[in-house]
Amino acid sequence: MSSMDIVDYQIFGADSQYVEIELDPGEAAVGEAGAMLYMEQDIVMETIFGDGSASTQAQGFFGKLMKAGGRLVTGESLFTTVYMHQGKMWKRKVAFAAPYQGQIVPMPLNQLGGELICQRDSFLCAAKGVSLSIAFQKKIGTGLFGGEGFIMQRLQGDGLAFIHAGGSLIERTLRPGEKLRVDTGCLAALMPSVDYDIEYVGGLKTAFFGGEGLFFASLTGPGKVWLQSLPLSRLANRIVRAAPGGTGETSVLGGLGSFFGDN
Amino acid sequence: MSTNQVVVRGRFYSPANPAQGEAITAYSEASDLVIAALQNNGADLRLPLVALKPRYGGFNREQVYFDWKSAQGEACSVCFSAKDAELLMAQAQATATQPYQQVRREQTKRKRRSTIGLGLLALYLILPFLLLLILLWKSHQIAAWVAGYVSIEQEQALGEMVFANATDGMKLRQTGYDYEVLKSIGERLTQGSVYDYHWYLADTEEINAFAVPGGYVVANTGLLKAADSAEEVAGVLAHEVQHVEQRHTLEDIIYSLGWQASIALIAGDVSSLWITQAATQLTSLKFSRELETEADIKGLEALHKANIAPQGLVTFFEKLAESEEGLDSLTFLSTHPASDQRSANLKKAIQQQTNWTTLALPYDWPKVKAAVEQNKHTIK
Repeated sequence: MSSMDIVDYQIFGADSQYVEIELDPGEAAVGEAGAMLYMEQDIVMETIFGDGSASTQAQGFFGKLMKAGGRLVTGESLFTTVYMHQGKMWKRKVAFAAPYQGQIVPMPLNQLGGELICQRDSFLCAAKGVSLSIAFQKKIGTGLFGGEGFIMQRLQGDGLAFIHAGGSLIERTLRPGEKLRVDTGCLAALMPSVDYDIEYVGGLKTAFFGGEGLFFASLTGPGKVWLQSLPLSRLANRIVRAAPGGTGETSVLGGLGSFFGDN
Repeated sequence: MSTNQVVVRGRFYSPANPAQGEAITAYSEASDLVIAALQNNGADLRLPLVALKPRYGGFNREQVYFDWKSAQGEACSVCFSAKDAELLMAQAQATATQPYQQVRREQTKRKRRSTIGLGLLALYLILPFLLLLILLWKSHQIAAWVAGYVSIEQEQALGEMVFANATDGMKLRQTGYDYEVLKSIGERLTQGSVYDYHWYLADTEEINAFAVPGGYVVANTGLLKAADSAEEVAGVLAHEVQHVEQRHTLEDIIYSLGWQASIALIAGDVSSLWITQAATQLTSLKFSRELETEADIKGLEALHKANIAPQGLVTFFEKLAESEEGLDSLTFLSTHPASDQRSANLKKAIQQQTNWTTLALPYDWPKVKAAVEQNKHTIK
């Protein structure tokens, strides 16, 4: 019944991780362009336009173009690469590496309600059939100050997907109505049932000298959220500041800048 | 449950359930919301609507959640799409749906605000491109409109600057019999003009003449040498003078300045010195075909007014078109495209003009040509 490929995997490493996926003959995985680390014999690499999910294959050229355009907006490449095991026997492995220090988290979409919204750029690889699209943030305040910009990424399907985020990843389950306030930029992924909003930190002194900026991201359950302890942008900021002749942090309106995706 | 009851799909969340919730079906009856056959105890869950707290939630706040506390004090919630929630509430007793109606009104308001806000944001982002598009579309009209605000004095001041730039390195003179003839022809053509004309002869073989705003006209000696009569020179001058009279050059300068300014505005580069750049481009100015045609027609009118035979303009064109081999030096021709078509148009326009009284120009043309040769060496 399921159109998804079931894959076995193993994650290696501590800070700088990679995931090794085991494919049976005929099985395939899709990877973000440039993420592949190694692949064994019999695995054939084919670059396709779009994400290779069943939904895009049925859409015809225009549909494919739109989805591929969506991928471009979310900061991914227009093309994805499919790694297919075309041999007759044995299991073969292909590995994908995280682009910077952080953690790779397996997301079994079938156990997460079939849909997940994650930070732009965080997709690493998935079983063939997982569909990638844009989740557009319609709340202006959240888009501007929520730390993730207006464009997030929607993973749909019932297969296994791997996402990557900076630092350590924390998984939290929120009960209905339970609220968690998070530093902006630290949200890595959330279930679509979670209400993602912003909240003023409160008080002028706190707002200007508290060091957390003007807003928190506020997440209201029910559902699961994944937080990253060290967003790449923060790490990059520190590096720039530490570099000779470096400048300070970006402006409050950094969210608007990241609309166009420059990390 | 009555037969016409609408049953909708939703998700039920409770601490006993996994985080993604449990798929359920639900319907409303009188003042209750009924959740059918839950997995964990198999019984229908009947909840009075007044005990439920409705809110919009989820990633983009597009779903309706009804929160409540269970008997054990656990936070529970059931979620429907906005459309399904509307259906459920329409079925229920109106008084029991008061809180829902309230949040729905708030949501409508919030949605409207968000649409306006996003629209403004989008507008802000595309505004430069929009302006560029309008500029692209209406650029010539805008340039003409701006040119209308430039006074004759300003135009002459600008012309002086452009002239100084455009003639940098040229050998100009205002002496000699050939110059006197040129000036005399020009003055016949520009009688009663608001502009104060200055005539110059440039000692170069290139067959060309050009005019800059405010009335600076430069004719090359090459033009005089190539012409077989004063009427031919008069024709070319009549044409060039119209670029000044009709303010073509001014419009063109404003046009290119406007473009550089808008590109600089959008691209954020203001480092270039527009005026000098525009001025140096002037010697190789290319007017649009419409402007050239206008200059032709108005030039003919000027010839008519000055009682000069118009055939000179046509024959000069034809002469230039015939001497194909000398194309490099024929700047006048190359910046004035499709001369076959133009001479045909000119002939037609001449034929349409009746009562054309012509007086032969009183110049000794061989003497002019001799003067060109003679004066060539006197310029420093």
